[in-house]
Amino acid sequence: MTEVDPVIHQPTRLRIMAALVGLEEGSQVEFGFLLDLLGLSDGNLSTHLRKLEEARFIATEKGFVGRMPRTWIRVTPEGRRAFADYVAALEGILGTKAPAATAAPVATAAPARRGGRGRS
Amino acid sequence: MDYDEAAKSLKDIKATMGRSSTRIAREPGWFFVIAGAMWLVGYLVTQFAPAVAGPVWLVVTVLGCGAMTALGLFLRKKKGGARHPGLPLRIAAIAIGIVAFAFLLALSFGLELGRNLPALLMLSTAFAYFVLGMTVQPVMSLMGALLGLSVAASMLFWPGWLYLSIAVLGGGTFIASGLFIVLRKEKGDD
Repeated sequence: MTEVDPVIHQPTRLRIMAALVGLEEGSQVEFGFLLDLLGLSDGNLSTHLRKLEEARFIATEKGFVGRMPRTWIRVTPEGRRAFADYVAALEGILGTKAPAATAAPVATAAPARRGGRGRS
Repeated sequence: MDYDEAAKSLKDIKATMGRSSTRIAREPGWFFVIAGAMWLVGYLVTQFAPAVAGPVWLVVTVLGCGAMTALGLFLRKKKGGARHPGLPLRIAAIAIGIVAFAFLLALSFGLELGRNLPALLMLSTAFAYFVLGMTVQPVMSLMGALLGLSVAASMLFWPGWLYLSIAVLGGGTFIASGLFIVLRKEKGDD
């Protein structure tokens, strides 16, 4: 059985990561973009974003457009790497591509990288 | 994780990535449509009613630029938009490249202002499409090549109808590519 990163493996978080990684590197999307694209509720999306942010896979930036508060989200290089590792692991299972050397279960390296932060 | 689960995950990933990138790429489409409408109206009037072309161009330019500015502000303010930090720099680089190309073309072939200026603009536009197609959509390169050839043919064989051909070919290309960008299905859709 192949072990995969549990943070990314959760289906909603996987879709959030896919939506962000699908964009050009450095691009940021507004919170409402993900809401609309993924059909999630505010609370549900916020919860998953928080978990991805705790894992340092995404970064958020709060600001204003006029008087309207906006939250901008982008995937971090670490998140992009973890996502690529995850996809490589899937392709390894399917036999379409040998798992990359870096595709070792991310969970094993997680405590050091995440500074021992808790996650669920 | 077993084979079926991995296959389903990979399919979901590809679909979501496709939908996300297509949705973001739609935003510039309306700018192309506005630019195309400006060219179409302006050059049609230049061809068929040259006496009033000056004032019409002025109105078309003011309205078109106003619409583009309003659209830009709307896209910037709307919920669910996107920001691309490196984009303004890239657009500036492409614009400089196009101006340099137009300048070199004029220098090399001695194109004069007046009737040849629109042709020069069109050839530069065709060149821009060709270059953009290499990085954005290959079909744009094909459109650029066809546009360039059509304008060159108009200049050589039907110089009296040059403005009409520019209105239809140039404006039409802009409008068609804008509508293609705005209306195309998201990649993840079946």
